[in-house]
Amino acid sequence: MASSAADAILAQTTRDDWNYFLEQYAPLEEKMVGDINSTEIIDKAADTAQMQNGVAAASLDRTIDRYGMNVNGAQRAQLDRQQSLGQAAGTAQAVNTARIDQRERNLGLASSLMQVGRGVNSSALDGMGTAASLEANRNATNAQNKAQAKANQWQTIGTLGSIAAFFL
Amino acid sequence: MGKKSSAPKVQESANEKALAEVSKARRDRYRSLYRPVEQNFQEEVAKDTSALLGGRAVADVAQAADDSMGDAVALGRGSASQLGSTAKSLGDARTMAVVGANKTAQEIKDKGQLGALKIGNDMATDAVNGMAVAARASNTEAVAKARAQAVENDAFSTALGQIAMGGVQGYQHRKGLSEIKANQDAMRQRLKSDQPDWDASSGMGRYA
Repeated sequence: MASSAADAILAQTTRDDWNYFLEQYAPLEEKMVGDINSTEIIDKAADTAQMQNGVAAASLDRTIDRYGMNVNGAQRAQLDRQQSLGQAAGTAQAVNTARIDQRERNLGLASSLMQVGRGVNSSALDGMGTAASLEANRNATNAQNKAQAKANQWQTIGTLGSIAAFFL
Repeated sequence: MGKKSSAPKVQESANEKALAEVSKARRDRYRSLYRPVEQNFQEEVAKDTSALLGGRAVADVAQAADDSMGDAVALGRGSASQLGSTAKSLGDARTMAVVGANKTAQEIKDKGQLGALKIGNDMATDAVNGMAVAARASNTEAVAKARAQAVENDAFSTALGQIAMGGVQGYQHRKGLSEIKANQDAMRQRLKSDQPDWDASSGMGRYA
């Protein structure tokens, strides 16, 4: 394989990989970055607390029925009041805990993303550094070639001029 | 010299172009995607969360204590003074819970900010390394260009010298030729003037 062909294949391959990244991973990357202020844990905590309190209340009712307990109206009202207070306190505590957990999760995700971002930037700088070095080498070589060509031209002019001056 | 130099020019290869483009795209991506994350993190981690953590800690203490105190009252256990003591213990426990929560909040904040600072410093190191690469590259280019210019200047001076030398040599050559010619003429003239008159009687040359 000619070296120019190998170069072209490598260039195309790396471009394909970059495009694959943009297609396959960039949306995930953007989604995760967009999720650092999520409130999902808090939102779910409130819903879960309500649901689980409902389940607990239903369980209590089933237990009362199963054991044939006689609950009169006043007791029932008291029971309901206690349950209602418990549910409110439980929901508040669940949401409060969820807020802390959510913050911890969001900061953890952001911290991990910052590490990823550092890698992205670092590799970009490496790449740009290499590109800059190659460009500088290219410019230097071009300048040297150009100067050498001019030097050769001057040498020719000098030789011809010398001959001409000899006969003047 | 009006004519353009015919020096071969090194062109940017496809790989170099790909490297430069993708590197720039990644850099742009970092700037647009990750920098806001860094800013957001710093703002968020600096917030005081002691109230939030204290609230939870106090709630935990209160729930446990309220149950036992409620049981004590409901079941008629203990005296009023014991209840008072329990209430004091509850106050102490709540206070310690808040103090502990404040410490935890401070530790979380410190840990987060130190983590951010470490990442920031790593990035600054990357930046310095990048600047070093860029500086070396531009230095290499500048040095090579200066050397190239020196080569060109030398060639120009040499050419001028060659032309001048050609002129001098030509002048000397012509001067030499004319001196030789003058000498030859002089010799010829002298020979001519020194030629003896022909004496017809003797048949021999006779000098004046």
